[in-house]
Amino acid sequence: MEQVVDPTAAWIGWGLVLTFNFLLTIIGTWLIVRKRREE
Amino acid sequence: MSGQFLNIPQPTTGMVVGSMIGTACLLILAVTLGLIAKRRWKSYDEFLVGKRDFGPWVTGFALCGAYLSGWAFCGSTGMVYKIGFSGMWFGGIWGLVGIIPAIWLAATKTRDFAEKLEATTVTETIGRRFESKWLQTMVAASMLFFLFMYSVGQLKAAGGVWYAVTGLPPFWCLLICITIAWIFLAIGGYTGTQWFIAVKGAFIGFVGALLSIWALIYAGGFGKISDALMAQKPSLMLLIDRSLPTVGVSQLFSTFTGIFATPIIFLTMAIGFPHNVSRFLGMKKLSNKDFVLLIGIVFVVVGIPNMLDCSSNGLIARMLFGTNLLANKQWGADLAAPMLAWGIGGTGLLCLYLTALVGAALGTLAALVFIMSANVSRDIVKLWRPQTSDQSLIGLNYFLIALFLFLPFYWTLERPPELLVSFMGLAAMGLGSIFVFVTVISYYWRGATKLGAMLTVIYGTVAALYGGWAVFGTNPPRIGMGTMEWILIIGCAVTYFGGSLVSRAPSVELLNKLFPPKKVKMVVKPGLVGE
Repeated sequence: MEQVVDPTAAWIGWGLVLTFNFLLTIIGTWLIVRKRREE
Repeated sequence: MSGQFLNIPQPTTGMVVGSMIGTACLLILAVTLGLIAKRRWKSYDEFLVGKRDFGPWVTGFALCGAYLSGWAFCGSTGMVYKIGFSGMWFGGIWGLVGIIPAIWLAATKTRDFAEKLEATTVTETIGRRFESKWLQTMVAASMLFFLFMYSVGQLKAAGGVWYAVTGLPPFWCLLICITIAWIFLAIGGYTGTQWFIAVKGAFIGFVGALLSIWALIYAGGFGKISDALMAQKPSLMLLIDRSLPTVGVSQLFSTFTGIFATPIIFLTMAIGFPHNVSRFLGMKKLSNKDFVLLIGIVFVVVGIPNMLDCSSNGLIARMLFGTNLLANKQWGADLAAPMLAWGIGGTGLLCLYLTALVGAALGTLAALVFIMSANVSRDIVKLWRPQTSDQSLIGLNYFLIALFLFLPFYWTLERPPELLVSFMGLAAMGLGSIFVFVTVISYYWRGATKLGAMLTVIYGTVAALYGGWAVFGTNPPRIGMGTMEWILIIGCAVTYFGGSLVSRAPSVELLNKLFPPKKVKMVVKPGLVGE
């Protein structure tokens, strides 16, 4: 079956993956640094 | 070849001279760093680990340099150029999700464990963590096996691109490169290697970011890229291309089983790769500020170039060159990134890119070779024959470094045996799956035992060998690469935890030294004092 191609959706998906990468690493780092300070 | 798109240019004098000057500068720098580093080590231990005084700048750039291989720098762009947007999943779009957790979980612990255990290699740290010489030997052999297979492909892209750009046979370029690598590895030891990889990491981060941002501006933004590719072949813009086979490598682009495996692959590779974790062995004790700086450096260097290299760069290369690069049967998609550099920035950017690519290949290879040589000299010879003199061990290291540099060189020029080609494909996944447990989880779990670690090494090695055959060694492939990752990681988890739960942990003295009891804060309410 032919897949429907929506380039805008593809760029949004790509942007979400990048955002996930950035946010996860920033939030994770914040949590780890907070834990290090407590120790 | 289609005339509507750019074609591979004929080498010009500017390209040849520029590439030679760039590579020569890189190699002169490498030897200089090696010579300076020579003054900083006096004993075999210092040769292997330096003085454990590297700060966040060198460690951060060196980690990026070890992580960003020729594949990350060049192959990922080629994959998206060839397959389309969906190639980004395996191309490296999870770059940050892999490497930043490696710092969270492995940086401080690797340094602390190695110092407490007076270990100079990751393998020795593991052996002493589990109080087992046999485990240390087994880990050294397994690591050597996987790193050897992984190292064989490291020079391929650099050699191919060198030939395509300059028209000169790669023999002399690569021979000079590995000779220089031997010089700086042998005279500079860990310190020289760490410095060179750090410079390389910073350099390819800069060139990668420059190329990626320049390419996006040159292409006219996302809308223009979409329009050009939709006119060329709409399926290039699919994030999941279901028309691709659901077995073999393409499973990673065509099914959810494959796509969900990709972040796991990047996470385990970044955390489990011994050449990444080894970057922390020589690190000084980091303050919180240093720790944040270390993460910031890696975030910028990996976050921008790596994640654009493996997505928009490949699309823009396809936009400019159509399928013309694929007509080159010998190097094909490997030319996407360097040709993109030429297409948007001319000879200058192409030469800069080629220099960075040679540096990328050489730096990662140097990191691998240094560990492989120590696997033999420190983790096998010194372990079982402790009376061996430092001088003999250093001499042995010199020989092994030469040997382990020569073999990838040879197999870049000559086609490797089919069996080796099959197993090379799964080497990185096998390494990651085994050592994420045996190394890093063992830093956190007191209950881990040598039986659990041994079973994980055995299972991971056998499963990776099977996977190499089932994914790459048969036509058509038996299973998908994503399925193979799940088989590896779930199996390694079961053997590691299962084996540990049914056997005895190391001595309490050792465990208390490595996992000191947490200090309990005593809070005394003022009103209660004296009552």
